[in-house]
Amino acid sequence: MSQIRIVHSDFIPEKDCQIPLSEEVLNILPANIRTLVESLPQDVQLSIEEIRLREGRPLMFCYDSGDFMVNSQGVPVKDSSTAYRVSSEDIRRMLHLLTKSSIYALEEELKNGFITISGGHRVGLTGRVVVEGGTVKTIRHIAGLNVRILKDLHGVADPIIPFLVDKKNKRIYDTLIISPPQCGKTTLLRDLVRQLSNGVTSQKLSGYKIGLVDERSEIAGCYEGVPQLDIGVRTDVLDACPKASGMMMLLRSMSPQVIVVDEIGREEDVAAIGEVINGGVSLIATAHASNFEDLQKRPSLKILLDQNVFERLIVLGRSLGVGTLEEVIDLTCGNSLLSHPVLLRKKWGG
Amino acid sequence: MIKILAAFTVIVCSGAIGLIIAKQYSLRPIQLRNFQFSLQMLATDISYAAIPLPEALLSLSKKTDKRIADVFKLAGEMLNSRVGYTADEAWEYALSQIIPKTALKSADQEILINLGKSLGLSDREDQIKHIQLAITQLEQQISIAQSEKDKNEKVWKYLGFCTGLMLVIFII
Repeated sequence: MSQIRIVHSDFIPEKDCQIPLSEEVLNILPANIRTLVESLPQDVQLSIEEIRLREGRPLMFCYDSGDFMVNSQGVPVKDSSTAYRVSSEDIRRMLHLLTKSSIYALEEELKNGFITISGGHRVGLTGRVVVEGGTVKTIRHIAGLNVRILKDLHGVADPIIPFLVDKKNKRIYDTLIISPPQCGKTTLLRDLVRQLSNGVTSQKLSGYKIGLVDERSEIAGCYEGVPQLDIGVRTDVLDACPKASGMMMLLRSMSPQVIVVDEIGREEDVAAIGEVINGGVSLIATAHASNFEDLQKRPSLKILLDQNVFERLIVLGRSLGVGTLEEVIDLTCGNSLLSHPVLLRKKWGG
Repeated sequence: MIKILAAFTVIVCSGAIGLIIAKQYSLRPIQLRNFQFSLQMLATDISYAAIPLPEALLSLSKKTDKRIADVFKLAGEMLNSRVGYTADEAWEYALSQIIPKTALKSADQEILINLGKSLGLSDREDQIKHIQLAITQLEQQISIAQSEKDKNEKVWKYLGFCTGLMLVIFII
């Protein structure tokens, strides 16, 4: 029991991030590892964010402030010498379950290094990479798997929405969300999409038609083209589509009122964004940067800023913890609209 | 009267046994050929459409000869149920359940089991190679089965009746 407390002492999950370890995740685990996971106490199971299998090395679980291993009885341990080690048979079985015994059907996914499973969870893969003509062709001899469990938080965008609505013109401001990695950018964007698409009663907003270009399948978590996460009733998703061409496709064919893209920053994105803005469609985009100065250093983003493409800049950080809203800037006049940083959610789920 | 009836029954029964054995000889090459066709279809599904294995197996079960279709159906359903079976386990189990009900022999089953071991866990080209290998091996089995059929089918057809007749003559 004392060993379990190692985990307990520094982590007590909150009510609102208690999303049980779903069947979808359990179903891709080989039977013996599944048993180990299921034998963990409920609250420990709930806290797991990643399950890592590395061939010949200990099975490892990550939660928001660290990791732990388990021994072959399923008891959490900190010492790797007593921990359960992942065998090559475990990896082989897991690959069968993960791919429905159809690796040949997942060539694109292998090139990208991850597979999205039903439920929107993602499994990252490592192993021997086969390169052909300078580009990655596939991964052979897969020896490492990382199951990233997706935690979908509703309501994190609540404090932000009032800043994004242009009440006079009944439209959404063109917005850029920036944040360093792991600060909840994607989770925020997903909730924003969901709320704007469904409509927000407190803001007297009826829903917008939203076109989402989900290049890395992270926002909607599509499985066979169908979004696995709740992204709102008026959202159309182009899954795994390059952003620049995706924005143009949506603009031409889906008559969106808002276009949403994740992680802009390449040159071809800039031209497409110009088209979107001039087409009278609102744009919500995210980028990797920790503050406004960082943003200025990135050439293609600087072009967009110089052209005054965006009207709102939202800065996320971790000054009060993961998922802190640091700043909201009105880019049309350069004023800050937020008096002090706000924590979007006490405990961020991923 | 009873004697004649009994004699008649003996002849009919042994004749029927002979016919059943003869039928097995004639069915085996047909069923092997059907397996070959099915595997060819599977190769097409994998190489051109990249259809996931469970779906490919289930759709095959609808297209192929009824007597062997159950192998594909059972294996496909087991993989779809997602209770932890790998492709080779599901395939081997399905074969072990269905093959005894067909005219196929254990040597044929062995070839198919070996194919199962490489199903699912490699890229398209590799999958196709394994399936082609199984098809070639089945071809050999077909020619063996064909010559056995030519040799034995007629023999068994008559052998049953003749044995029945001889029995009757001896007993009387």
